Amino acid sequence: MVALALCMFWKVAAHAQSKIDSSYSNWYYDARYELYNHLKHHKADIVFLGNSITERGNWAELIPGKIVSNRGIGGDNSFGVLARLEAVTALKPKKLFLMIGVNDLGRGLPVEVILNNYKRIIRHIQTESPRTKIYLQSVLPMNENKLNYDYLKGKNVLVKQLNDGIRLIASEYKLEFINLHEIMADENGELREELTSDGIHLNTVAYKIWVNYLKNKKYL
Amino acid sequence: MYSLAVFPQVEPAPDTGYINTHYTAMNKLFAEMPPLKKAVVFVGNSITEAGKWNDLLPGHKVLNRGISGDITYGVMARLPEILKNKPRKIFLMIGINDLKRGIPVETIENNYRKMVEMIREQSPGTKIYLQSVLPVNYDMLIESFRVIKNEDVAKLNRTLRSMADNKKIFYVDLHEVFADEKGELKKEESPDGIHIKIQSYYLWAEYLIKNKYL
Repeated sequence: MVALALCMFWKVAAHAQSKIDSSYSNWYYDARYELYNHLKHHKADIVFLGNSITERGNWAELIPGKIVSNRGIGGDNSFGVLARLEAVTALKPKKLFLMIGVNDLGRGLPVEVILNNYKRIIRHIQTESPRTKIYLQSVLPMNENKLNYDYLKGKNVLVKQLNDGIRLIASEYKLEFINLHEIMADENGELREELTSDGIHLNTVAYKIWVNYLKNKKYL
Repeated sequence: MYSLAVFPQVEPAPDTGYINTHYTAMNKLFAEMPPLKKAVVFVGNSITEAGKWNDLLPGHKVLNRGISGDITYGVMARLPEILKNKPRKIFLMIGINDLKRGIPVETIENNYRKMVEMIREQSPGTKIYLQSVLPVNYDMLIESFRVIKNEDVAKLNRTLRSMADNKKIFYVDLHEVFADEKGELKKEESPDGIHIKIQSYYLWAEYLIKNKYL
C-alpha cells in the first residue's frame, strides 16, 4: 500500500514536471520487493544495494564470516531503491554499499534528479538506521566497444557527471566515497574490457578485484 | 561392452546431454570462487539456482551450486569438486529435468544411490538432505515439460524417503510446503508449473529451519 501510494505520488509528480520517468515497477522488481519484505526480520552486517551489477555479485561467498545481504535488483533505478528502503534499513546493517544510477541514465533521467534521489536515500537511511555506515560507490563506466545496449551508448560522459555529483554529496553528508574507477576503469575512463563481456556487467574476476579493493581500503 | 550387451538394463550409457554453455560457464564461475570449508551447499538445477540462499539463510555459510537445466548425471560429474571442501551439509534436489529428458525413474534412483555413495566416500562427515523432487502443475506447464508425470515424481520421492537413515541421510519433504491436495505444484507458489516464485522461497527456508535441518 505504501509502495503503491508512493508510486502514485511519483506518477503525479512526474506528470507535473513532465518527461521525468520515475517508474521502477516490473515483474522482476515486484517479485524481489516481495521476497525482501519477507526477509525484513533478518539482521545483516553488510548490505550491498543497487541494480544488476550488485545483484550478480556473489558477495556472501566472497566475504565469508560476515552476514552479507545482497539487495541488488536487476534493472533498478534510484526511484526503485527509494521505494524499497524500508526493507533494507530494517536489517540494521553496520555497513551499506550503494551503487545505483546507470539505469537512470539509460532512460534519460537528468543527473540532478538522480543526485536528488541520492540525498533522499541517504536521509532515509540515516533516519531509519542511524548507526549504518553508508558508502557511496562510484557508478561504473561502460565499455563502448562491447556494449550491446544502444540506449546506454555514449553515456560515459554522464556517468562522470553523476560521479562528480555523488562525490560532492559524500562530502556534504560526511560519507565515504569509493572511487571504483581506480580499479575498474582503463586510461580512457571506460570499463576495462577484460572485466566485462557485455560492456556493463562484470565477470567473477572483477568482483574479486572489487572485494579486494574494499578490503585493502579497510572498508570491509 | 560385453556385460552391457548381455544386461543392457543394468547400466545404461550415461546421458551427457547436461553439458551446455550454461553448465560450463557456471562450473567455471564456481571454480573461480574462493574455497569455503564446511559450508552448507545447495545442489541442483534451476530451482536451486534461482534461490537466493545466502539472503534466505543469513549466517549459515551457504553456497548455491544450482545449475539451470542440470540432471543427475551433471551433478554426479561435479560432485567431486563440491566435496573437496568437505561441506557440512548438502541439500540436494535434482531429477525433474531427467524425467523431462525421458530418463527412466529407476536410472535416476540408481544415480541418487551413486551420489550418496560418492558423498559418503569422499566426504564422510557431510550430512545429506535429499529434498523431495517437486511435482509439476499440469495446467500451468509449458509444452516441453508436459512429458513429466507426477506419478514418476512420487515414485522417485518414495525411494528417496527410503534412503534416509535419519543419522547422516535425511529426507526433506518439501511437498508439505509446495504441493496441493492433488499432489501437484501449488499454483500460487509457481510462475509456470515447474519453478518456484522467487518471493515464495522464504517458505522453503522457513521449513528447513522449522524442521531443524538448518
